Parts: sequence; C-alpha cells; structure tokens
Amino acid sequence: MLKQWQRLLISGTAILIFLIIWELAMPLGLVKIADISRPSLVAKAFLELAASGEVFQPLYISLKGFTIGFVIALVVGIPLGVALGRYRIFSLLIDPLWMALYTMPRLAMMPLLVVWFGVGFGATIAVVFLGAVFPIVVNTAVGIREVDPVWVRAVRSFGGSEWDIFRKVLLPGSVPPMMIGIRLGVGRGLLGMVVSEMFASTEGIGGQIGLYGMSFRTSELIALIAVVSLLGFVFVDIMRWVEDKVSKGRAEVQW
Amino acid sequence: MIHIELNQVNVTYPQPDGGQFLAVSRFELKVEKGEFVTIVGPSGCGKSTILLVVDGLIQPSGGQVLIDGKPVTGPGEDRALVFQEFALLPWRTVESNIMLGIELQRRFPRSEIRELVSRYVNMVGLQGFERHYPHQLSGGMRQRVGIARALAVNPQILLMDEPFASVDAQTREIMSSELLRIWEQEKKTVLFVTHSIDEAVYLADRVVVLSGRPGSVKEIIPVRLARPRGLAIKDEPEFVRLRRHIWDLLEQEVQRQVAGRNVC
Repeated sequence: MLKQWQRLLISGTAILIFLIIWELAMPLGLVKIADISRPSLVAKAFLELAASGEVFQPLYISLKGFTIGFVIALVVGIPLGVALGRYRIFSLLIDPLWMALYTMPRLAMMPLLVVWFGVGFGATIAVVFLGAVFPIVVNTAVGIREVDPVWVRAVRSFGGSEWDIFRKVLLPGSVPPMMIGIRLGVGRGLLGMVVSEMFASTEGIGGQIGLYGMSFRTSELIALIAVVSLLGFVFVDIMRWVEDKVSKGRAEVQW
Repeated sequence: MIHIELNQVNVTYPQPDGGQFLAVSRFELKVEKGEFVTIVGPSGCGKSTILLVVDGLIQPSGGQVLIDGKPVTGPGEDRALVFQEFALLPWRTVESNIMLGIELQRRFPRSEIRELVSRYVNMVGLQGFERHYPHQLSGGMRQRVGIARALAVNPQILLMDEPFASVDAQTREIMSSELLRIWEQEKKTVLFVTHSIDEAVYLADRVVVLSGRPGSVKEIIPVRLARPRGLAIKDEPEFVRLRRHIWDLLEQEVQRQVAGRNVC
C-alpha cells in the first residue's frame, strides 16, 4: 500500500510534467497550433481577472444559482425517488413520462427555459435543477428497490409503522446508491450552470467564459475553465466526505 | 394453560397467473405456555408461513390464530421473530441492532435501555463485540445478535424460523444447546421451525411433523427426555428411536421432493 504522501507525490509529478510540456510546447516548436496559451500566461490572466473582480464575484453569483437549483433538486428528487422505488403504482404512473424526459436533450430546451424563467438567474436555477434531479431520482429509486425486504419484515415484526420502515430501513438502506446519484447530480448541475450562463445570461462564471471564448482570449478562457473544474473537484471531494460520514464503518460493506 | 392456538388455519398466496397457491391447509396446533415446540418438515412446505401467521405478518385465508384466547390481527409486543437470514441492519452496530425492537416499541424507559442491551449482549455471549458491524461477525455471531434482538423486547413468545440453517454444523450444535440454556432461564413459549430432525428432537417438548404441499400436521410427537439436556442426549436410545420415527414419517415426503415431483 502506498502512503498518502507517496500517492500525492506521484499525482503531483504527473501534473508538473504536464505543465512543463505545455509551457515548452510552443517555444520548442512541438505544436503548430498558435493558440494553446501557456501555463504562465494562464496564471497571469487568472491573477489579472481576480484583481479586477472577474473571478470571485461571478463565481459567487454562479454558486448562488447552483446552490438554489441543487437544493430544490434534492428536496424534490429524494422524495420522488423514494415514492418511485417504494410504490409500484407510482412507477407505473410516472415511468413513461419520466423516460421521455430522461432521454430528452434537456439543454436543447434552453430557449424555452429562458422564456419561462427569464434571462439570467431563473434560467440557471432551472437548468441546474433539471441537470441534477434526474440522477438523484433514479439512483434513490434504485437504492429503495435494493433494500432487502427482510429488513422491512424485521421492522414490521417489531410493530414498526410505515414511517418507521422509511426512517429506520428505507432511508439508511438506500444511502449508497442515493449518494452516487447526488454526486452525479453535482456534476450535471455544474455543467448545466455553466452552459446556462454562457447562453442565457452574461452573469456568473459561465457568462465570463462565454465572453472570453467569443473573443478568443485563450489564456483568460482557460483560467476560467480551470476555476470551474477546480470547483467540480472540490464538490466531489465534499461529497466523498459526506458519504464517509453517513456511511461510517460500512464503506467496505457489501449487502 | 394454552398460549397459542391455531384452528383450521389455511394460508394461500396469490400466484402470478392470478390463481391461488395453498401453502398451509387446515393447520391445527395448541401450544402450552412455556412450551418448546418444534416444527419439522421438508423444505419450503409452509413451515415459515406458519410462523409468519402467528407473528401476524400475514393473515390466514381461513381459520383462526389465537394468542391467550384473543385473535391475532397483526404483530404484537408479546411476540418476536428470529429470522433464518438474521435480518440485521448492516449499517448498525451489534448494540444498535439489538436496540431495534426496543426503539420501535417505545415502551422502555430511556434510562433502562443501556442496561437492557448489555444484559442481552452478555446472555448471548457477545461481550467485546458491541461496536462491531454485522459484516465483521461470523454467521453464528450474527444469529446471536438476532436472538438477542428478539429477547430484548421481552416477548412472551419467541418465533424462530430456521435460525441455525445458515450456520455451520459445529456452531449449530453449540448454539442450540445455548438456546436451551437461555430458554430455561427466560421461560418463553417457543415455536421453532427447522428441517433438521436432530435439532427438532433435541430442543422440543413436542415435535410437529408436517406433511408436504400443502403443509398440514402429519403427527405431533411428545419428547419425554429429561431436562436440562446436554448434547450427549443425542446418543440415548429414546432420542435415536424418536429420530428414526420422525424420519420414517418424513421419508416419503422427502423422496417425493428428491424425485422432483410435487416439489414445494
């Protein structure tokens, strides 16, 4: 087993090598494409953008939209997933419609969403919600269906109510798949946030990306994209931490 | 005093084709208070169904189940079930699993719960494993948790559904003798389902032998072996005679099963 610092060292070396090759690619004539920028230029662009308030203020706006959309997705998605997983009548009722929505290219609905929710903030919330809610619902339902019926029977046998079954078995029992859904939802939500801001708004980090992208200012563009991927990285890490917390002592459990 | 009474109980299960499958037919049994009754029969011939009916988890389609003379309408605090598959919650520790019934029945004072749990941890010999998760335990230990969980709510009736079927043979012997020790201490009425004739005779005051599909009583055999019983009792002539007799009753049913005809 590698120790933590050894693993960090190996991954860090890979990143460092990548950055060096990228930095030297143009001067050494390794690439013919003119505009791949260089890490040093990207770093400089980032500092300039940050100084002029073009990173953190937009980021704040983006995160606000993301958080609202994502929380709505959780509040709607988890109960809906539970209902779909638990009650056959629900899944029969909703499944056809749901599958149609699921397979639909939802980002293609951007123009409509703008009409419904207005340019900017409203549309972003809607897109984040639509991106995140599907994996949350689907995986929660899977989690509920995978709950061992014998656990439910045990709770019933002790006189537990339907609410007890939900609280003591269904919810904790479906945590692992549910967490996968929530993690996928974070990724989809972030993607939705950026795309929505690029096309339906000039605000937020996505708006900035759209702006610099259209004027081909590569260094600034790459700096902003890097901010978004860092954000995704941080979110996924937070999710892992939450997963560890809620499933303490059973990370390795197979049931 | 009669504790559990089953009168002409029929149980049917709906089938995918819309028909009804008769699992238990005209089942008759009276169990005295404090009695240890085992039910033995070929696999899948309605043995477990009988326990589920007594527990109130499924309703009979005909006949009556009475506890202390009152009809069973659902699960109750006077009964607790021990499952073949243990049915422990994998995200809970041993301690917390034992607490499940106590939590659900909300009739135990908070201050007593800790003491109650440690009492049953000790009774089933799980000291030192309180903070372990089920996946860290062997099959035998998991079932100890299952038994402690059932005993912890202090039921009058203990319903045991092939509790040692998923445990290796040696552990099984040990566990059944420990069960007898606990039973002699706790004075519960026990209804114990098994497909092991040995186990059925060793544990029981009376053995109910089932016939195959649909399950009904073929014969009820009193076991007049002295208690407390050690494992050595299995070599006594009376034990051997009873085992032989039950096997004769079951052989025909089992032969049919092995031949693949009328499989339950």
